[in-house]
Amino acid sequence: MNTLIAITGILIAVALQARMPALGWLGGVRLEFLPAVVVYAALTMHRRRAFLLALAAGLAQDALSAAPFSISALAYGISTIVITSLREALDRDLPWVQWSAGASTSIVASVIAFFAVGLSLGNIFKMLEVASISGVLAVALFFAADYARLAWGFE
Amino acid sequence: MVGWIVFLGQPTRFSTKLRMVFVQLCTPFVELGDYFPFVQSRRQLARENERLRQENDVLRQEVRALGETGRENLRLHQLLDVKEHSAFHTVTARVIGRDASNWWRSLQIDRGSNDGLADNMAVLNADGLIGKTTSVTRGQARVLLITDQNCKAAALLQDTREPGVVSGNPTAFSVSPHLTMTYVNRDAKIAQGESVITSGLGGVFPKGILIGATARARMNRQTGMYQDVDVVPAVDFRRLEEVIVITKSE
Repeated sequence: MNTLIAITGILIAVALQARMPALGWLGGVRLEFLPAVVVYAALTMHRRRAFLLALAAGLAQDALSAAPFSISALAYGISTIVITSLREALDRDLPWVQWSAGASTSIVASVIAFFAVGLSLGNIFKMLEVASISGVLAVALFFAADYARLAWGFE
Repeated sequence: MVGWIVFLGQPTRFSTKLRMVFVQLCTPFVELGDYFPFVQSRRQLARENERLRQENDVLRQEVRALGETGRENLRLHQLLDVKEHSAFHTVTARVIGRDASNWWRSLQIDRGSNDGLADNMAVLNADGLIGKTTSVTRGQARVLLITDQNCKAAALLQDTREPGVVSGNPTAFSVSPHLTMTYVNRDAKIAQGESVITSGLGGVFPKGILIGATARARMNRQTGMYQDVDVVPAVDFRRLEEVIVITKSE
């Protein structure tokens, strides 16, 4: 996966987040695709490049949100540093590793957001819900991207 | 890194410019959704109906505002110097995106400073109040919804004239957004279904815009000094396609 594809992936992911309607049957949460992209970059790309992409992903998300600018960049940056430092100990091909990384990234973003929106029981429930979905999306992204790499020979 | 990010979080000129750059960069991808075949026909239909819809929305809002004027006149009919209810200068905008995060509630619209928009302008539709503008760029603006806890509107109960402040109430257990009207007089008798309108205080939202209807009232648990009233929003925030921005009220 080269940097250009990663940047395009980030822009598409953030646009999807901004365009797709909330899931009524899941309590009105919105799908978050960026944690999956950030995790994929953190587990497959060079550390510095993954970190810069995580910052770009966070800033893009904040630009399309009412969130304080850079709050998501902080979350994704921290998450990328942790994941890349644990990379040698993690087998990125295992779905549960992918799921855990996606869910953890989403949880970090939520916890940092709580400093701005406040903590409540409802917010914790929502955080766990969003994290579970982000984990599933990370597994799906790894499957799709690995398949694409095999099929088209991306690096 | 943390210092740099905290710096970016401050409302400096640099961070505002950087935010605008990211908005400009992302918006074409957000707007790309309009060009998929399955939404093409809806887009054309919306364009055909746009003029009539604008006219209809403005007229309906003016009718509501006139109703409020009638009430105002009833109370103030002996005063000769009472001003007539103001007319609004409006800009109609199309919703092109929603908030990319789960923790804030906002919309992105396709009008910006080039169309006369600035920060803190009231946004509404024919049903009632939607929110206020924020982060305005040349071609786009973000609308902070009234259901976001950071958006607060000075409000009135239309029948009893009890004042209060309406803001979003964060909850994860319901799809429909929640509003709460706080600082309502503890002795006020609040009927269920009473209309809640903007009071005009604060200068952002003109007087008389419908916010919603009262549901349940309860004494504030922390202080017991005032009542909190649940408000059912008049607007269906899940189905917003076009909005009206009040750029000037005379």
